[in-house]
Amino acid sequence: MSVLSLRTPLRRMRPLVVRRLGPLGLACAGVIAALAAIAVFAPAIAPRDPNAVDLLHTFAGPSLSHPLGTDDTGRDLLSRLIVGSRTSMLGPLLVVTMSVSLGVPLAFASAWIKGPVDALISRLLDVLFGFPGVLLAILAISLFGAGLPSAVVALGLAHMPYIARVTRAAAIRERELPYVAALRVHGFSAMQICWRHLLPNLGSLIIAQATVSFGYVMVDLAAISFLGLGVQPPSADWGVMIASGEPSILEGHPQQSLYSGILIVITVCAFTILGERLTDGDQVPVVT
Amino acid sequence: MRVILFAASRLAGLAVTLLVTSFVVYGSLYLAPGNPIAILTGGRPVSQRTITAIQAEYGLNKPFFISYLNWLEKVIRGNFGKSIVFRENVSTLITARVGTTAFLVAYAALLIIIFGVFLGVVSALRRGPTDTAILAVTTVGIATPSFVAAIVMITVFTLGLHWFPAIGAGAGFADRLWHLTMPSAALALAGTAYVARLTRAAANEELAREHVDTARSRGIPEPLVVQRHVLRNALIPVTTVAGLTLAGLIAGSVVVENAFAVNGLGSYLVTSVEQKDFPVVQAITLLLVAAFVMVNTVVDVLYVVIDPRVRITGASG
Repeated sequence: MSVLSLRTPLRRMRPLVVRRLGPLGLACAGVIAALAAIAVFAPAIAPRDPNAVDLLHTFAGPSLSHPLGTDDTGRDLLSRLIVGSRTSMLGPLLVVTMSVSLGVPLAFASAWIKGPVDALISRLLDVLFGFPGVLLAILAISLFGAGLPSAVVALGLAHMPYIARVTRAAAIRERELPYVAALRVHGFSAMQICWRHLLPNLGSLIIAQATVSFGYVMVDLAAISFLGLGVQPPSADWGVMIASGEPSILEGHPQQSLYSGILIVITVCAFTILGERLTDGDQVPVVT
Repeated sequence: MRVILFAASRLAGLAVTLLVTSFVVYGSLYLAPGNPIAILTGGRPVSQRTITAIQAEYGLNKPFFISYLNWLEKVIRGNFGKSIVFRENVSTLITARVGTTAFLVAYAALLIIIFGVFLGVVSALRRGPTDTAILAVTTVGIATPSFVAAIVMITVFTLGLHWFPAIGAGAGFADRLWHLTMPSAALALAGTAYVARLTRAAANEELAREHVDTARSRGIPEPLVVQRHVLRNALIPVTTVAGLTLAGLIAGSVVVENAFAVNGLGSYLVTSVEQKDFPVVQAITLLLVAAFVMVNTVVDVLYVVIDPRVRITGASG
């Protein structure tokens, strides 16, 4: 086994990745790391109780006790934004994890077995492509009830073809390389070769596509919560906050919607730019 | 000949996708927890007569596959059953709202084509700060969801400047155009940015080609070089992707209509989900997906017609 260890040592990869990312890509990675940290430690960081109503101080401006002001029921906006990062980031993470763990095995099976299996899987992917994610999610929600779980499962299915297509194309190229033939001659099973060699070698590509997908999934999930079909108020979630702040915009208080909207745009930007950098410089990402 | 064969295979693919879609939309009724009757009535207490009527309408006492075929036959004839909330034919309720959504999507498509191509060409021809600025703006634009664009526009153009109304679809052509300007712009934003990026990339690629150098060295004036030798070629790949972006607008309209309280198919879809009016949900989902898939197919075929160089390979890429 040690003779045939063909994986590139991880340590040698690192400077390469940093160089490819460039300053902008590194900045995006930093933003994502910061947002992830905020989401994980949200209860500890949030200065106030995000659900504490204070009807005497509704729509308060920025002050020391409320750095970003308060919403229509006097809840602290900063705390709500911080706590809201949890569902806003966890949702896309679950969706992308689901699409990758469904899409990659399908792609490998398709590329490895070829023939009718490949044709069948490709057809399946084509049909799934034909179903816009948000519509599939709305259909699922109408049957299983509003909430994050239905939306996550539906979007996980809808975004799976994007991961599967990219992985299948790369896996088809990879399996023709001499080292795969060498491994087969040595008697390694298809499962072993795929799991131990194809997966690590295509890992960076899959991660890049998953990163880009994360951004677009976040938009879809926030849209569903915005429509009132995803995360339910009074839970703090960026999509929910945009929707619940919308009626007060015309009363002259756009803060709640604007802040949560800006956070979504910053997060999505960070993920798409990082994903692009990870893929290969100039490529335009796939818009879903 | 090959083009015709290709078109035929794509049409067959379209038919398969539509069939599968209809199967998913119908079959989902059986997938949900609880029995189909409960889903179709939204869990409302209804009389035995209504239940019998629904059973007959959907053929629920027959085997699954037969009732699916019955349903499909009715759907093809435009009969989507009755709305449980309004007790009216779903098709009547839907037809009243199709126009608004179609207007919104067409308006947004127009904005995407005009501004997307314009920004992309400017970006490619003016290197330096202009290019960088457009690149930055389009990067943010691609990442901006329509509902975020909506709230920013309402804040700036309704609350701040009082230029456009924030809700409603308006009556009559001019009023509708005025009412739907902000919704269309919000819907078009991400697509415009995307098309601009693609146009820029395609135009840059053409600019670096030898036939452009040749044209220049022959003394052809620069505007003509750009028009005849750069744009014409660059717009071929843009057409396909622009087409696919336009198809995406159909699903996107659902969100935008809700953000601006526009009474189209999308806002009706969400209301129906909330009211548990499942026949309406089925009908609108099916209609929107069908429109989406058909636009995609037309774009695919169009691409081959526009560009004879495209080598026609199998259906899947």
